[in-house]
Amino acid sequence: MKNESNELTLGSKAPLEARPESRPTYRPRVDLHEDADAYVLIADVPGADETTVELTVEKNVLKLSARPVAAADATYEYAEFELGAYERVFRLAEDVDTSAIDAIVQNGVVHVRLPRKKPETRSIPVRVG
Amino acid sequence: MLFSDLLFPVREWPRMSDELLRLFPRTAPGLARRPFPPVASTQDGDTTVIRALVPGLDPATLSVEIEGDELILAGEIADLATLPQVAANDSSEAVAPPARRTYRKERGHGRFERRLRLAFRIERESVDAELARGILTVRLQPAQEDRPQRIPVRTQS
Repeated sequence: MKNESNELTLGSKAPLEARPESRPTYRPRVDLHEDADAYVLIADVPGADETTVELTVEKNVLKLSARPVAAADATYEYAEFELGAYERVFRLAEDVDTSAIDAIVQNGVVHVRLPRKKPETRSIPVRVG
Repeated sequence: MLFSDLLFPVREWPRMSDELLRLFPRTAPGLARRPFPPVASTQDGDTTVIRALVPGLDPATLSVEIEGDELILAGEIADLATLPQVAANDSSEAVAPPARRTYRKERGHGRFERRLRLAFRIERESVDAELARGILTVRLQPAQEDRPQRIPVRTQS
């Protein structure tokens, strides 16, 4: 993730029979930034809110899942989009402190803050020889 | 950065379908790029319901206007990289945002305007707009004189 957020494609999605809905699953669009002490992942999940967004971390893999709160309209006369579930998997850099990941949802956008581990430094006492 | 991708002269649609021709009969086909925001429409009795996907849209920048038979959606989606970090715990960060590096930018940012021409003049008082969870929902009805009229059929005895 330091230089590129690698996505896992193999085995990253639930098997079709395990998905609760027949609606399509989309890969949300993301921005990825880095500031002084954290990576910041921003993902578009229109229709979803804090009750339907799920983030899980296993080892160094972050999985973002979300689904729209309201059911889609039964029939569209015209449609340039279709609402469905969102799912995307990210491989995290080794310096991400996975215990301190923080996320909020606002206006259909998930903001995930992934703090970097602080380098461990300790003083070595020097004795007189 | 993506201004040109989002600012459309519009009146054009990427995919013309029979349904679209019926709903928006005077739009022209042949748009190379996808208009923003993507919209979908459905009918609920007399009411036409139009939904637009606008994740990240600041409600303060949103404008919904009616001009005759056109619905004009405009607003601005901020590039969050230029804002103080939302989830930052350190309040001093808001005063002096740190230098940031960007690795990936797939989301759209910038100002947009989209004009949707309907098959009828719009009753101004009927328009209701709601922005929730990044989806804009506009409900509107045709002006009285543009509504379908039932014509009584007499029988000759």
